[in-house]
Amino acid sequence: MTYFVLLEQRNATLSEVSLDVWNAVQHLAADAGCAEIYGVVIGDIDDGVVSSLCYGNGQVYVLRDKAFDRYAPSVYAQAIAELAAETGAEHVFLAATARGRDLAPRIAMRLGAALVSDCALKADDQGFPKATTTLYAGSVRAVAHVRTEIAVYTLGAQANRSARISSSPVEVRNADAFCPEFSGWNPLLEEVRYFTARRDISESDIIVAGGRGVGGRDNFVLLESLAEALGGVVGASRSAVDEGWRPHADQIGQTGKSVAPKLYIACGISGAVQHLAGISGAGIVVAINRDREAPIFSAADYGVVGTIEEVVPRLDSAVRSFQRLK
Amino acid sequence: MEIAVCINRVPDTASKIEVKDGAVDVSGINMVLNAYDEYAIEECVRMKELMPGVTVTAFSLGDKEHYDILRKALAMGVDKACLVEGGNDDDSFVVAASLSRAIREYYPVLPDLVLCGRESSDFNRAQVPLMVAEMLGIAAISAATSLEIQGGSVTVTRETEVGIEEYILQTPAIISAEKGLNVPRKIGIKAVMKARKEPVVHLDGHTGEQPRIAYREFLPVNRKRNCSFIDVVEDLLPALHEKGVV
Repeated sequence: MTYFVLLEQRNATLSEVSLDVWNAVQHLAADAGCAEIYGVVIGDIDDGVVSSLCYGNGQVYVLRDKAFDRYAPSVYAQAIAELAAETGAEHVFLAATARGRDLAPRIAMRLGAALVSDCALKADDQGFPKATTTLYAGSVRAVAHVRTEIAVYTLGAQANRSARISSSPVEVRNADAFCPEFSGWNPLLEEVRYFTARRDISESDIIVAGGRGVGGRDNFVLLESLAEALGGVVGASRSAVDEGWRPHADQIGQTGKSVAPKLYIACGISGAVQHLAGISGAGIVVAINRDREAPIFSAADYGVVGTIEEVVPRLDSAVRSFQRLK
Repeated sequence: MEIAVCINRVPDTASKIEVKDGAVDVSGINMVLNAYDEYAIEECVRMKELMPGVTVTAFSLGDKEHYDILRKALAMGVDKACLVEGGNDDDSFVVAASLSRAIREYYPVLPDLVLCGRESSDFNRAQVPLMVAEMLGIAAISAATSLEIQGGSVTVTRETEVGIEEYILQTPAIISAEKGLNVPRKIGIKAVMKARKEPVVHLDGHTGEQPRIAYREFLPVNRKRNCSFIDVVEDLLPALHEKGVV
């Protein structure tokens, strides 16, 4: 069996989520008994950086060409599909990031492959990848049975990161042969306005999220402070976003992002099914709400009954003094 | 200018999805127009209102039950509605093939723009728009939060993990709509009544393509956790520390 992984390059390093995918695929290959693993990185990155981050079996190809300086989805998809086909890959894996989601259908179509989105992987009895995914906004779990010879998978965020399988770095190789010629790029990424001082909620280990019960835009300062003390980020429920208290990018739930942090603190969030759908992958859930009957408590591991104004600052200072003692 | 908008019928997000005998029980579920598709429709109708000579046509794959969402699209201001018959509507690949066939059949040349919702809120795969783009051989960008058309090109922005990306696409192109693209209009009773009288064109969506994935072993996700209520907030810390999260 041959596995193929897209490693996402950002600012001359590899993104953590795609290294998670690499490590998960290494474990899958070990469970499957035998598998060849190939990886691909597109863009300007040092071989040394790649070998300092990717461990385990297999080879990672680096595609460097000025054709890749700006992101053109069809150019990237074509290069990845051609290289995957060349390695004889039957299973192609990507992280379920904006870019992974953008490339996966294009790669699947070019390979005549099935596409399994946002899944988690395990090896089945015969060593084949068994992909489990959730449907209906996280309320139903199902196994995706692939009916084609080749399959492309995007892997969703997991609360438990996959550990490195071994301490031996991979072999890094050049793959200039797969760099495309300049031709009809459509569309083309024109500009990226990077977020500053704001981390992506779907990549954070700790999220402090606020809902209508926070009471207003200004009260989010309390959540910001708690998140800072914990080394986490602030998220929001749909109500808080609809009120205009927080940006759309911070929305967690069915019409926002699905998150899988190790710790999720829900502040003033009632716990509508649409919100719970977005946090089913969370490790520990703490709920703070003044209504003891709020549905959020039945989806939480720990509950504190009280208003945001009284509970959050106390928790904040408790965290800070706890960390001083540690 | 021709604009196509592809729409889908999904369970109301407030519906409780039950699993019965290993399959999803859809009886007793209220089916509605997919929320992301409302953003797509709204955007088309706004373009129509801003520019002369724009015709917007809605396409939906399914049976006559889809008349309700097609009529809602008409009531929102879409010009024409097409029901695409045939094809398995559970498999993204088959759906994309049927929609592509219908679009090719309906238009003598490809429409300038095809809009879709980012994803359907039932299977949440977000695959169909990009698959249709590959099948039609045209440019595509998913999850747009703003869209501006000028001559033969479209400027689209979207939010990713790292920032806001801006793309320029040459038409024909497919754009999928993200929440935040616009605020869909409310429709009045007069528009609803008028839409009821509009004809719906039937198109053949059979392609002979087979599903590439079969979803099996359905299980309800149990979100219930045992909540320990903490009376003194400060007691949370040792508990969280024990779990290894702080």
